[in-house]
Amino acid sequence: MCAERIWDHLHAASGTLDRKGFGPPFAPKLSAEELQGMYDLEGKRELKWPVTPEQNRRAIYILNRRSFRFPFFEAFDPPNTAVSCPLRQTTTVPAQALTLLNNSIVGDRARAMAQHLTQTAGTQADKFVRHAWLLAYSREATEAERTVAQEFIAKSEAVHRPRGEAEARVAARIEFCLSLINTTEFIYSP
Amino acid sequence: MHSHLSHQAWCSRRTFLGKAGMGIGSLALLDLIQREAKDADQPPAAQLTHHAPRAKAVISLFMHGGPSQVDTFDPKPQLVKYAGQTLPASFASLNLEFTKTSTAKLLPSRRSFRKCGQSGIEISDIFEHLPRVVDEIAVVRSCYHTEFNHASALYLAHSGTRLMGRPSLGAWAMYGLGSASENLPGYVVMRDGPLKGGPVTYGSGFLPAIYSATEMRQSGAPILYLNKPESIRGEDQRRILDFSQQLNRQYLTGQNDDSNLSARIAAYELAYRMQAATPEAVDLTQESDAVKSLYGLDREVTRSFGTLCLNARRLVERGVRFVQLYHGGGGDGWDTHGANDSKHVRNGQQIDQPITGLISDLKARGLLESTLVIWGGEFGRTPTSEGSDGRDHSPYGYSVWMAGGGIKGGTVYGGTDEFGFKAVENPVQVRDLHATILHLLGLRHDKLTFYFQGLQQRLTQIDGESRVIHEILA
Repeated sequence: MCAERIWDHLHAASGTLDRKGFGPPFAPKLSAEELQGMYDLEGKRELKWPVTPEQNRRAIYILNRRSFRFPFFEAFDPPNTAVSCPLRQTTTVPAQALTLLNNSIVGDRARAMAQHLTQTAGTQADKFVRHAWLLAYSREATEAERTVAQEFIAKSEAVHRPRGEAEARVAARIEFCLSLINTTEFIYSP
Repeated sequence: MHSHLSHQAWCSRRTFLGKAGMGIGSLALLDLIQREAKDADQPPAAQLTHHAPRAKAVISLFMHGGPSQVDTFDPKPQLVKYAGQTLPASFASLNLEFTKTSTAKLLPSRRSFRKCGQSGIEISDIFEHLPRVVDEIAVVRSCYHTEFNHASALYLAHSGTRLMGRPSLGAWAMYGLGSASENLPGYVVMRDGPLKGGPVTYGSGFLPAIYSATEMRQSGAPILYLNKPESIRGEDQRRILDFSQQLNRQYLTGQNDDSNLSARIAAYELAYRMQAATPEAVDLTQESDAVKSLYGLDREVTRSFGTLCLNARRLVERGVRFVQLYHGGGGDGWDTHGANDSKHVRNGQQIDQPITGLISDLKARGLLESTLVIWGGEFGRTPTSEGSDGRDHSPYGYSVWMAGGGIKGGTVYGGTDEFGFKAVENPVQVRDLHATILHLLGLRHDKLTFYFQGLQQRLTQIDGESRVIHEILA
């Protein structure tokens, strides 16, 4: 998938996609780390990045600047902002993995997805897993997949149990959602 | 793909295209997978060169702002005689950014030059340490182009064209050679100030993202998104990753073409290794005090650029192919529209010991012969004054030097006119420098091409001749 579709899919899967169309672009929050070292073209002051109240609209509405690309997109072959782009590249780079593992936007989406699934399917592991598969991949989970998924949730709950039963349940489900987001099937759509 | 379909209970958006039989969807899919597999195969392994390379790695020391040639590497004693006079009328056609060649008055350098080393290359007294390694360097005093604004000159110096958004030298080198490191990015950028022109200056343009630069930051995590979020511990992340990879294998086991699968699994494993390897690579606590002081880390004035230079050596040691350093962006840098002399002295102090330390350290470790070190800015400065004590941008004749990897040390090539304004003896274009650098890396500039917008694009462009400067090669 291209950068924008990954953004949209992340929000769709976590139930937070704002489908409002048209209007001015929106500027997602950037972390201090993402803004560090970003200067405007004059090179004189730190780049000003306006943060808008709207945060979860489709990626096509994200503010684009000629000299500054949205850092989250950077690893996913976004079009060059300076020249026309007849065809996007499709590459596989470690920066994509780092972005999907460590970016706070993705972490937040995993949390939202776990919450969304808990609301729609409850916390019972098998039902949670089956709904997760529909949300993430638009298909039913196979027997084998359901088994390994439940094993993962059980293992993760056990690790987090010292923090309390309820917290362990939440933590395990967030980790499970983060894992799904990091699978090839989630971000790779032929 | 058929076994993938067989376990689908219903038609998903992904399988829809596949189920369309021999429709256009299938063809596009096949093409996508093949193209992706091909791209993914390229980066990890070192690729074949056109001829035997002299250098395996490059460290580019970019002096952003434009250092003045007549105050550094291009002595013009005649300027004293012409002080306060204007240039001959023949210079009137050369445009400058803030001053006019017809009215600006010649301003002699306040620096004194002395012959250094065995070779006797003349270097200004801004540099106290550099004379120790002068016999390793080849100075090209006749570089020229016509871009007198920072941004367009930066794009030209990096990408061979004044246009924004074309692939930079580092990206082309990666495209030609691939990475030599198993767990570090191959093209690393480090800077200690702003860069007019923005990150796109060192970008990969129309080349695939695998050839793009990774900026290593000087505070916080060295690479963006390298650090785990605070909520995730190391063992948590390994468990998450293992589960993802397990699902990946299950999902794609039945696919006919598994090169894509292995590329993605490999990318994740490389990312995981990078999280450990990158902080290690730039962990200067592993260096002795003697090495640190060699680069000037023990002095305030040299600490910042010394740190970048020492990191550059550590990265090259670990197989990083191209390290791009920047010095001097911002108001106090090399862009000396006022207080030219004192700012040059200050900037010189900041880089002198770090660069000398870098070259001597590379040599002591046997790395200099395979590492090309390049020094230069986006242009030089006018020998005429701006205001009372400044110098304006001037691209018409400026100095660049190189050392190490295949360079004939102790060489001076080309020259400017008696004022130090225009390159007149053996003029060298940016594309000649690029052709020479690629040549040293074992690549032919006219064969390293990438098809984009209907053209076989190349770093040295297709609208004129480029020449490898054999005179400065060992």
